[in-house]
Amino acid sequence: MSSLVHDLGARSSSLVGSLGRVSRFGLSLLRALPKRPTRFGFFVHALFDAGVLSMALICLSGFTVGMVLGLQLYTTLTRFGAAEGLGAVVGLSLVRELGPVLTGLLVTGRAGSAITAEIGAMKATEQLDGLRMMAIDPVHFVAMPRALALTVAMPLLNGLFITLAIGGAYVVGVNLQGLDGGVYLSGLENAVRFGDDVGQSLLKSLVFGMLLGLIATYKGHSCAPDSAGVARATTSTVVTASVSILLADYMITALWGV
Amino acid sequence: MIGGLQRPDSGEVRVAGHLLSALSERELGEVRREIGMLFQNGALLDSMTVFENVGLPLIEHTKQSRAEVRKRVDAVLEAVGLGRDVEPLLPRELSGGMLRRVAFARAIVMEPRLLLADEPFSGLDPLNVVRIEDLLTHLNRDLGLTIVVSSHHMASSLRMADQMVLLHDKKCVVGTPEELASHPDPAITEFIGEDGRAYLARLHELQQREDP
Repeated sequence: MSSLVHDLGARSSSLVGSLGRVSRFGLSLLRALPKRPTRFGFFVHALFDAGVLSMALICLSGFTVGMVLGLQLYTTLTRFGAAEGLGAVVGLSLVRELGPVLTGLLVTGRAGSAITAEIGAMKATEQLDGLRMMAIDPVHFVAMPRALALTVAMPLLNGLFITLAIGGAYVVGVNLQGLDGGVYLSGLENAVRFGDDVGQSLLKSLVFGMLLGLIATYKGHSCAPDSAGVARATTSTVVTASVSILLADYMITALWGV
Repeated sequence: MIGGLQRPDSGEVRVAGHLLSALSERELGEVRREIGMLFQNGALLDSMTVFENVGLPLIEHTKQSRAEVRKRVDAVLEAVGLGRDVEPLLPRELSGGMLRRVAFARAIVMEPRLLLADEPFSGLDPLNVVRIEDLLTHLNRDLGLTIVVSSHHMASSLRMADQMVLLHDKKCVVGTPEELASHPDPAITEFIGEDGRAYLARLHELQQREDP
């Protein structure tokens, strides 16, 4: 019994310690943001890696998810004689939930893990120590541009995912199943409100981007400086960021008031 | 620890009068501008070219123009025996010896007052060992740079050092190379090995030549 209490205490203490370290790292990222010189070149490079190179995956996934959604919903709605509601249901589910969450999870696997692995490898080969010895802050030089790139890329990729998914559902619902295109689009237009739904989608993807940026760069910076440590950190980024995204999704949805 | 990358568990480290353990990371940065560090594996940024790596401290900490940076980078690369042809290469395209010399160039590009070299000879062929040794000796003897070398390469250490600190059995043994090579404790002379005996023989030979 005493060992159980001891373990529980040790784990709780370790969790609080980790949260404290992540928060401190997050603060140092924020402090690095306005520092000179601006790392605009590195930011653009990181944006290309995280954003442009993720576009193919996001387009393909978005279109496929849209097609599946179109097929499932059309079949179900037809059963209730409400097939003309396809555009509204597809639009709302994609804009409010599926778009930001699936984009967040896809970018976590595609770009977040890569950023952790890159920074972890830099740590293992003493490149971060090398920067510190040159009086260059590694958080400002390495982590900040990448975290910012993920924060900026996420809403843009979310928009791309939703657009492609709406297109995919259109192809299945209208071109394959025979629903009127005008009915699909007008249902979509009437159901999705810009301020409420698109605003919520934008906020979610922005928060997910910030969370992923923080987690991916922190895990890279804090990993053990060997190949096993980098591997563990990369896995941990995917797991921690995915869970954080799902939790944050629920909290934003609940606070927004659905 | 002398560079402030690790804090001591006990005791204190002073560099140029600064007590390192009392400094914040930003204040440490000010001290580090006076220190050049040669890492064991180079620690060059692998996404940057040789020119960008060597010129990085100048770009970050000085207001030098691009042309001035280029001139200085050319000069330090020449000082370590490398030409301009290596400047566009990435670290992964360099051999071990070249990589170490580029790291050397980066460590001295800001003209530091103190150079820390972590195992500068490990993994190098004999020719490159001599090259690096000559560079360190030149910087120390001719330019007056203070150099702290951490090394297991006894032959080079004995040839170069003014003072040596031997870590043995949780104790520091301090002395000149001659004192350590002829130390009364057999554990010390055994650790220094054949290189110590060769060093003493060479020293004796030189003394005989000077006083025939």
